[in-house]
Amino acid sequence: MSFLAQGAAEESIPFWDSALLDQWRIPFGDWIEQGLKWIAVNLEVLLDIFAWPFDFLIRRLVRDFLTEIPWIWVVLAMMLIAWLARNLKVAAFVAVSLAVCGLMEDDYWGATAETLGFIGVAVLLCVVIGIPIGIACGRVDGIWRKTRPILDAMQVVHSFVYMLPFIWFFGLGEVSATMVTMVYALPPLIRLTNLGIRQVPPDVVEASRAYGASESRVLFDVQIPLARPAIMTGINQTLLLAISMLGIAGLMGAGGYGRLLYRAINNQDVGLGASGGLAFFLLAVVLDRISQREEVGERHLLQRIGLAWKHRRDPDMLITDRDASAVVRYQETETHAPITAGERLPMGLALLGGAAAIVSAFLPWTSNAGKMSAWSRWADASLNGELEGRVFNGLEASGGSWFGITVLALGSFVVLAVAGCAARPGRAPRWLAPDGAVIAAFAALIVAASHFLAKPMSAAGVAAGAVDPGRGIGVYLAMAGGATAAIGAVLWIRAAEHRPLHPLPSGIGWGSMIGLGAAVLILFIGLFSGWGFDERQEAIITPELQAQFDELEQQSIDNPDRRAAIAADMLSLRAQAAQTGTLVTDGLSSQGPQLGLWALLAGLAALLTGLPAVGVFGGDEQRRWRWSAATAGIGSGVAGIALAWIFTHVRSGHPKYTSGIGSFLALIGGMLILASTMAVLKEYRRAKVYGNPRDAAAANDPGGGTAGKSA
Amino acid sequence: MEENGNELIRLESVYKIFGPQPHGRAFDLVKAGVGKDEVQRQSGHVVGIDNVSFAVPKGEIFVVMGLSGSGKSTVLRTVNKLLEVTSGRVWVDGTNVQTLEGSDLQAFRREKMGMVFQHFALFPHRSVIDNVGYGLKVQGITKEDRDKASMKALSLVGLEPYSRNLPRQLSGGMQQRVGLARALASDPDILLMDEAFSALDPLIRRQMQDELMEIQNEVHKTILFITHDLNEALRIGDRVCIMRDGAVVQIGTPEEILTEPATAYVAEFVQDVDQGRVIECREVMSPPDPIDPSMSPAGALAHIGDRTGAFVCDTKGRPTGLLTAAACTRAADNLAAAVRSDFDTASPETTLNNVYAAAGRGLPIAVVDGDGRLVGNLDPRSIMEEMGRVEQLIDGFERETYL
Repeated sequence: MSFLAQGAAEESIPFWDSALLDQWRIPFGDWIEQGLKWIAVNLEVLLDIFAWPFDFLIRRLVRDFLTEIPWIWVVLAMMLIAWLARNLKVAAFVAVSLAVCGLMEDDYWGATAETLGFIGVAVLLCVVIGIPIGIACGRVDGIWRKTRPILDAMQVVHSFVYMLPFIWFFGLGEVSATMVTMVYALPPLIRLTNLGIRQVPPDVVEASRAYGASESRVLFDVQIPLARPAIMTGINQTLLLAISMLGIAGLMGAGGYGRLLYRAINNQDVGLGASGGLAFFLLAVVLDRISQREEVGERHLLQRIGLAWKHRRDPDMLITDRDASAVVRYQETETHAPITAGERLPMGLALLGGAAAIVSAFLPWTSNAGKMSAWSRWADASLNGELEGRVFNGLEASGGSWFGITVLALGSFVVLAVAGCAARPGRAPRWLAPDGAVIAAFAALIVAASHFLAKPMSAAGVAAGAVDPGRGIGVYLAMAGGATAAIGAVLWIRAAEHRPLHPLPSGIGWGSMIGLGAAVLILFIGLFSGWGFDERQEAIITPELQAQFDELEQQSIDNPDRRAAIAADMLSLRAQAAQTGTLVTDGLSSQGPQLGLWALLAGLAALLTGLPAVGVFGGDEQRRWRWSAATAGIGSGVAGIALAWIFTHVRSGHPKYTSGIGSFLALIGGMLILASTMAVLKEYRRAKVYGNPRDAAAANDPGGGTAGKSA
Repeated sequence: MEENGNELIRLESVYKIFGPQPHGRAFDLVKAGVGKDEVQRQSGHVVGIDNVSFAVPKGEIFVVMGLSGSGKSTVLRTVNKLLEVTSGRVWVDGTNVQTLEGSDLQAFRREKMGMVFQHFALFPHRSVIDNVGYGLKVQGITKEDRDKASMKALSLVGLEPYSRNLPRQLSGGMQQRVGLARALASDPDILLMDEAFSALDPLIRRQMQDELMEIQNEVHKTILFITHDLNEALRIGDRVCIMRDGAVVQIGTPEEILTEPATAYVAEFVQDVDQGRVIECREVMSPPDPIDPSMSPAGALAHIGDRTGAFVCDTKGRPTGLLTAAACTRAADNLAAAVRSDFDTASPETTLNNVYAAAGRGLPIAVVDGDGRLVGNLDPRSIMEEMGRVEQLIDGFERETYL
């Protein structure tokens, strides 16, 4: 009671008054601070030992190695990892995504490598620590009871809270950032490992023990293999959480995307934020895809290699390993329809067209100067007269540029589709089929034609010293090849023995129709959006503008309080001024190649071919399939035009002359057309013919084989 | 229980109590004869096994039967020390199992016994042949030898063509065959089968029971079989032990269980069983007491007495004809002409359900041994009499239960 009396005597504050609370204080913060100071002073060696693995991995592995080696090795290594862990498809996705991340802007590759390394180190350390702890938790109830509240705390307490002690002990930088990331990312791995171990059926564990297995055998023979899916999910979760911590890691001084985004926020740089965000997203998807567990029944490369090694002395086991199943035996009695006589001629025609398209890329496309690249380089001194008289093929920067490369790729795909389907009808990859050939052939034709039709260098350009690029034989051959391949593929798809897996939904596919309409709308917007942004001209500061600047300057001197607001005004004014020198060419402008127009016309054509594809003219399934393939081909062509234009600028562009949002919209529009046709296309597979029904019935009865057991 | 020199498994007053302090108050209560439910109420401990003793001689199929919670699976798990007993001793082939620890225990499990589980407990990530060879792998046997032994075990259960499949690709019955093959692969003396067939469809279950008995005729293992299905117990067991609430209620041959149920509990079980499937002819038949057809009809009638008829035998004691009491009365003096040869025969081990049709003709059935010699005379009326007696016995218990 004495303290109440004391308080009353001093200030006579009633005890229900909040002001009373200010007189008393529990110095919890002081205690912790004192403790941390003591640790930092007296246990420095211990802290150094603790920090060593982090420091070592990040300095040696990330700083000195990963960011130093050429980018191609990193991409190839990631691709290999993806192939080993998953499949070739994921590997290709990984390679493309990482390349896009690196291409984004200057020093993006460094940031990508750094981020990759940072996440790699964090996840590696999480795995090394988390899985053993998880296994211990799964096997011993006592450990789990003690661990669980700690995990709860790690997940509930916000990272800002425990960030501080780490910074105190280990300073700002990657080491403390990695530690904070691990605190956040570790719990799900431990939880899922624990869960996985606990979910192993108890009788299977008992069986292992009953046959005399030691406890370590029980763990490695039964518990870990059966808990593997859960553990893999845990690693995946840890990875995603580590990625989500990148922002906070950037705040704590780690490099990579975290720092880029942090900088973008500080400078209110929308462009940096968007490109950084996209790279961030792509990297997250890449890592997620690699670490996802494989689908049931799928056997990834690593498993196949392991199996081959296991059966290196008795390779015949590899064959029987899966095929002994009665189910598989049943499937063997059905085969895919062989190539019919009616398909052979169109296939030959398509093959010829595809081959012509391939050859065309190596023939002259332009002379004197590039047609497309001239748009992005017309003020370059190198073009003025120097290139005159030279001839460029479809692959060279000044020749067909990416149009030639796109035609080459599409032509190769046509050839591959014909050859693949002929060699292994129905068992080749899905798109090596007549519809794949139609899509590639149409796209090749459209891309080649757009190069042919694109407006060459403007009169202004010619006046400035550029020369007329002219047209080479390659462009003509590319168009002829594309057209031949298109005719062949269309004839082929009419004769092809392909059938839908499920009946197509009856009625009109309104979803696809809306998709096509939206695509045309986007292409229309793209027509009036910028395809080229030319910032090479100096900003023009008019006298009026200069007067405004002077006035603002005077204001800021007069009112120091409003200086910040005035500075912002000046910034926006300066941005306005910068735009006066920017030349934006839209998709229709005579100052540009007018590719937007051709893209829009192709889009309108897709809208027309889309009508029978979505079932407006009746529900005949084969007809809907054929028109869907044609529509998809036109969509791919639109996307191809946009892609070729964008990459032409990526490859040979002046850094201040870039492709614009209009081309990006055209790319989206083309993809949307392609996507609208997928509902029909994805149902189609090579038709099947079934073996003799008696064999099928016998193989269908797995119990039948057991009768002769006494043999 | 007979004292037998060649017994392989022996449980001596085994107790098992589940809970944090199995040796404390709960154990005292159980020792004092307090029931399972009451022990749980007073001490919070679950009584698993309550003073169980039995012995299993070599080569016998010993079935432990009881409802869920009766402690039957617990008994099985004390035999390979998957569970530690609270008190009592478990002897297997002269070893006190419960004193084994660590590597000794592992070696003992490896060499002495194989186990089959209710839900198969196959390793889903290993192929059939690797599942079967698991016990051998643990023993450190090379892959080649292991596969050889595994294929032999698989051939016993008729699954050689499926050796490379994964367990999930097989049907339930086939999976349990794999489980059986796994237990047989290391050629142990003892098979522990924990509700091995309970998860299977009735038809497959019957098939598997037949197969087990067939295999047993080949390999002569000592089998400790756990089941909750009395029909299964009576069908495959050489002896059956019925358990309730952790304690043994009755141990005996299937016939003993069926014809002399010790308590109302057993009787209640037994009432649903078709006695005809278990009771064998030799238990019901009367002595052969053959007749000589050269007798006078009056003498023959006297000899037949109150039986339906008597058999005529040749010099080797094989039945050649049947003389019924009715035929004797009708025959004037030529008894030889009244002898009929259209009688039915059965072996002493034939169960009654197999002679119902023959008994329906109203004629005595000749019970003959392996050499065809007459060993008994099975009167149709005595079949009905025996069935009635068992039924009445069970009814008596039932009244006891309900009154």
